[in-house]
Amino acid sequence: MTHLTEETLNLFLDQALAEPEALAAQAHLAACPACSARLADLSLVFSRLETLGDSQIDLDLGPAVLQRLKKPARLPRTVGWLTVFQILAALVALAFAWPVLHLELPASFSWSAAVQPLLALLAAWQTALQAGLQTADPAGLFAALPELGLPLAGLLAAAAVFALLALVANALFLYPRSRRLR
Amino acid sequence: MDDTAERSLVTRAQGGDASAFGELIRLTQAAVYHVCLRMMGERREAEDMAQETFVRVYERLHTFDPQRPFLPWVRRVAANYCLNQLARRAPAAESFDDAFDWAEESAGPLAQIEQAEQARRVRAALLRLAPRQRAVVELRHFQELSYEEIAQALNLPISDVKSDLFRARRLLAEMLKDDPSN
Repeated sequence: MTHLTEETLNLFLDQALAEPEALAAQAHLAACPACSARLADLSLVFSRLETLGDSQIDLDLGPAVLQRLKKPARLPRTVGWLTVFQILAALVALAFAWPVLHLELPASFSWSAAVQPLLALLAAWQTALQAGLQTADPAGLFAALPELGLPLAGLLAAAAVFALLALVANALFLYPRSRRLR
Repeated sequence: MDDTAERSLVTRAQGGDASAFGELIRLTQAAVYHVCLRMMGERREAEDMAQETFVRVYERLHTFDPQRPFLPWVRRVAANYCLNQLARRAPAAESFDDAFDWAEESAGPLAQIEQAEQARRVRAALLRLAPRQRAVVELRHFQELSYEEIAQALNLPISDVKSDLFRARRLLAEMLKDDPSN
């Protein structure tokens, strides 16, 4: 007689066997004292665990939890320092970019014109990449890539945009932490 | 509490209403505390873990769908949080408190002592399991999740869930078989 595996006994107790297998296991258990004894050992675990069910407790966690949630949230130390560094770096980038943009741009500068070289560069890289992939020549691919020829104002505008994006990203990161209970 | 009232509490708590979240804590704290007690073994620690669970629950509340039942989700968060805390620790012999709070108050004094003693043995056995085995037993036996749901909650393959669960039961059966009360 082939005995039931441990897995089958467990699945049987969890009522996770398909009906034909469950019936076969039941028939085997009725005829096999060894497997019945193993099943009884496992069933004992089930009934003993039931003694640890949830009961009433003399405890009120609410006030302590609510008090904690009403306090301002604290960032982990490393995240806090990183955020401070990001904010400072963004402010420094803006401080450097602003005088140049402010003094030089009014006559000639427009944001769309500043972004134009970046878009042209991306388009040129895309074309070069496609050509390089078609010829399967890595040397030709790198030779075809255009050089970065942005004007100073364009670079500063890009730095300013990245700095603003960093500030917005920080604000988005910090916002959920500021959601406190009323 | 009916589903509509629970949904309303969850929605209000999601909007930052402290009294609504306090009510949700009051309704679920016993269950959460017992999850933590079964996982950690000590009352003081279970209380801290339960508090921490509710703080985490609030921080993730905006991701919770109010149409779903609240208690199973909170209990799952508690089990996962305790498992993470246990996994961070160096393996050590777990200690546990006496288990008089598991004795049925309706039972007579002698029966209460016997029940408490039996519960103490089961808890001691449970605490000798590896943290992941303990979590799987918690989710299967006390939260009545299916293998698939446990796999999802713990981010494990189903084969690992079954293997942990069946091994845990075998170990518990061996430990409880030596129990003099059998």
